[in-house]
Amino acid sequence: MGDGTTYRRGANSIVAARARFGLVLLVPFLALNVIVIVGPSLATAYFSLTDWTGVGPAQWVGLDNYRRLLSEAEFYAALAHNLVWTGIHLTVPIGIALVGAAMLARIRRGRLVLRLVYFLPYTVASVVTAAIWQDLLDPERGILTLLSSVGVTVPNGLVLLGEQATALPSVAMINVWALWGFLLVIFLSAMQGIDESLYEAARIDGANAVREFWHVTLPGIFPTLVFVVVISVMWSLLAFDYVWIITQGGPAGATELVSTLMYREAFERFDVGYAASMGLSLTLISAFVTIGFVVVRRKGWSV
Amino acid sequence: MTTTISRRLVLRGCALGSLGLVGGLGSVLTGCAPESGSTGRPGTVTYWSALEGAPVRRYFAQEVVAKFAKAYPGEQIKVSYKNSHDLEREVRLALAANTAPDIVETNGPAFVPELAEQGYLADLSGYAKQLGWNDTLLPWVPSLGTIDGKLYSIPIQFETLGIFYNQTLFDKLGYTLPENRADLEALCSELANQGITPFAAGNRDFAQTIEWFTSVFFSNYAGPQLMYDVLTGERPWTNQVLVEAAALMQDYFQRGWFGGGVERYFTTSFNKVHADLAAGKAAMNMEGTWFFAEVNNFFGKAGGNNNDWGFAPFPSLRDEVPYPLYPVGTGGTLSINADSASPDAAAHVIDFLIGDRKKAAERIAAFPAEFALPLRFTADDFPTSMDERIRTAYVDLMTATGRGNIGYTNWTFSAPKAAVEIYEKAQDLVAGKLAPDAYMAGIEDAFQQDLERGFTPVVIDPQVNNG
Amino acid sequence: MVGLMRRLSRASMGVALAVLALYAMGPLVVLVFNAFKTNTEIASNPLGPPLRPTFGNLAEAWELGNFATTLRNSAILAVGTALGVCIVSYLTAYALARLLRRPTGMVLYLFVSTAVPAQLFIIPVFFFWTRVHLNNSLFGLMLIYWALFTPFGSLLLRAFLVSLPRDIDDAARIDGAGEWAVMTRVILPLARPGLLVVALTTGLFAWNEFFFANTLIDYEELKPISTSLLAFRGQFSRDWGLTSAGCLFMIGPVLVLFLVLQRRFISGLTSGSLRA
Repeated sequence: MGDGTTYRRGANSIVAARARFGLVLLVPFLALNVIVIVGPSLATAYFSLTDWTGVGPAQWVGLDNYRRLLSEAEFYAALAHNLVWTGIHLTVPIGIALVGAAMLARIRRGRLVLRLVYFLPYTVASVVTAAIWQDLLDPERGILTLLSSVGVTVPNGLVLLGEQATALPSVAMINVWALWGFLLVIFLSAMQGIDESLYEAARIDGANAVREFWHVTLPGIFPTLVFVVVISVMWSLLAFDYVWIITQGGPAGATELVSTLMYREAFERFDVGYAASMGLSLTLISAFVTIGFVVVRRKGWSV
Repeated sequence: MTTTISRRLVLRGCALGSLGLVGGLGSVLTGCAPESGSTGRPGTVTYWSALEGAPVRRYFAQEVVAKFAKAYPGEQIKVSYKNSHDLEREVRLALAANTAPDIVETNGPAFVPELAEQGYLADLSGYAKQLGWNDTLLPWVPSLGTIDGKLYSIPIQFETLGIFYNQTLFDKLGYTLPENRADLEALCSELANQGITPFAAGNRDFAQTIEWFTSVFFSNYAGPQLMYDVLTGERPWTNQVLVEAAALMQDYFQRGWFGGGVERYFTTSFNKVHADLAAGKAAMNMEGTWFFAEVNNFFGKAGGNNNDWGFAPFPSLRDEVPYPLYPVGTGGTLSINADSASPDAAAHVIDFLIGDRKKAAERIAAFPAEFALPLRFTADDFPTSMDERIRTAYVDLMTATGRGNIGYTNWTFSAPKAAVEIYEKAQDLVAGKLAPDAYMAGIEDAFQQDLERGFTPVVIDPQVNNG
Repeated sequence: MVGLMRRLSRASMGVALAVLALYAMGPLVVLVFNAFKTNTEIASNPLGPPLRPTFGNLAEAWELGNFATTLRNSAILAVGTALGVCIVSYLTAYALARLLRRPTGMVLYLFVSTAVPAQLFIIPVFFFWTRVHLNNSLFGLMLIYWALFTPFGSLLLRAFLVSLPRDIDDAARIDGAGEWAVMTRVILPLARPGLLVVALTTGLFAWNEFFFANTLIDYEELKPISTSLLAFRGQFSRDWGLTSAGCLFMIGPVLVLFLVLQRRFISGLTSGSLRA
């Protein structure tokens, strides 16, 4: 009995000492984070309560910017576009990357080369990626003409990036092209950490490739998958680059995202205060998403 | 005031962490990194330029930076090149943080009033008098930079919108240039029947360029006086004439006269616009005089065809509106930072650019878009080697502005919110998503917000600018 | 029968991988083609191979883009960013995955930290950076990159570290290893695949980053490679031949680095693997 308590106290103090060591390890991160993330967050929060134009004095306007934001149809339309964007990014690139990585993990010859090939799109500067795809999607000269020349019917004169209905998914798919190989490399690295004996055991049980994937690979990389899913949501909320380069929110607002709206408010209409309220709303939404995720998938986190 | 508040807030946020650590470490590692902006050595003029592309930058280094240093011993320009789309944002940020350069370049007169009012810009009136700028600048130019009796900015990149047409194609098919709406519509229908796109057009590279069309449709439909009244808040944007102008623009786009259809317009690059014009797939291209800089790369031998081009004003779109009419624009302005340590040297730089007409004309000949300053040029100021069409266009433009035959470009004469509303919602308009009257109502609303903020720029009065 | 199925599934897998490779490489082939075309040819022939190949683009782009300088600056930025983020992220991830008792709150905070609107944050950051003279400094830029990417790096590494069995470090501790030694000698080698990804991602991010670099750096001699592409722009247009050529300069070093790194990290992985 007495021995047990001593042992437990000893274990506790070891755990406590480790936790203290852990806190020390967090110091560099926290120092950077406070300066570049927390400080600017506070400043942005302050901007959002003013009518600041970016130069000169600011007038305190209380919650006016937030009230205006909540009554602005443009904002909701942009949020809806962000939702579509998120939906695409949670399915297409993650799906391709998962399946691709699982297949790649099973082959030996060519694995290194293919991994490099798949990763390459991610290395291209976004202006250039955008330009290549704008040409590829051109109705007169792009891949659609190639498709129709081999017999696939394409609606006549389909201008993917110019039509209201197709512009947003088209830009999203350009982003997907740049992104999926990167996700694949993440998944592949995680898969390489899976204990090979688990696969051997599954094979002895007569599992086929699909069952192996479900029962060994997926559980093995589950924390990474959760991470990729959550980070994809975050990045989708903030998506900016490709839309800004390719359509700047157009045609006729069809691809307007919250971030492009925000940029325009801050640096074209010179309403930094209002833009700040938009930016903080994004951060708030992402906080809710993350917390929601934790609540729903408690299991995933305690892995 | 705000800047100090917000800065204090930032600092407080950082003080929570390791302000000392990183700040100290930073300054140790960066050592004696020279400071940017206005706190430089006297005689050194810092300047952020929006000149785009290596060739023109190289030319600027040779013809301006180097020659200035020779002309003014002890003084020099230290130039940093910015992306023209980012310049405004970065300059404002730097002004607010007190690190802006000595010479402050903005994207146009519309951006100046706020900066002047907040005390960021120096009064140039003294320099203008001392260095005789009023004698070289076109008569209406100083008024464009004058706020409450003080001169704050000099416009640069003087430009207008007009029609670049495929001369060879026009000659072959026996067409003449349209001067009024009826001619224009007859020509466009005829071309469309022939399977030729009337106007090559596209805003894929930069969505905002749809404002070229709003500028022309408003100006050439409403005429100088009405536009002046609207821009100065005397009459509303929702007046019937402007609604009709918007409807006309919508109609032309829907007919496919610009770029062969609205969806095509949204996805066509300038490169293709210019190639199509030169190849005769399209007959015309409505664009600004900046295209002078590149037009010869697309026509003739350089473009791999035997075609030639011409330039003409856009037709008058209503009987009451005179022809020719030139929508006036300036792609930027130069001012001097109120905190500059070397304002005299900065004024010398401006004087070096605008003081010598012949030299300025030479620079225009070399790079027509970037160096087109609004000076009192005559035809013989320009070098004889210069393309005749370009020279004529500039001389005509200068003369026309003296007579009040002017229109108003969006990027020069609209305050920020109205300007954004005009080019953003113009896409909805031409796509048929927004009715002309609703479009104009939105602009009026944005314009009222600008008025309230005191952001409306100086507008050239078509009546009183002859001199 | 099973053997046939296996062979069939191998074949279909091969086809699928080839299709993916085509999807990835197709547009890049266009990029390479365009690097050898004139701007006028790109307008008329945007996708096909160059009909009249020109080799002038590469030399011209190199010179006009000032790549000799910007390559060097970006190399410094990329390596410094990758190193810094790896170190800070590893410490953070290690603490979260293996030391702290209730890391959930911190993990949540990390996720929210990745969701900050950089376009706005640049305003206060700029004010502070100019105050402490960290603008116009590669180190100052790197600090921002570290801060922006350590949440991402930490979370990614944490995901790798929590999958490693607990007995590894316990065994090492029983053998008498101190906490520092467990962290640096036992777990670190196992975290290599994760570190590779973090290094690549953040290095690449720093390599291509334009927004902060362009705002915080005014001196031509300190500008990074992403600003080189600006040299090929006109006011409204772009020389796509030169831009494509310049882009090859941006991709080239990444390619080489990737090849070098992946060999090292893969071999490290197999030798120090879990069953050892």
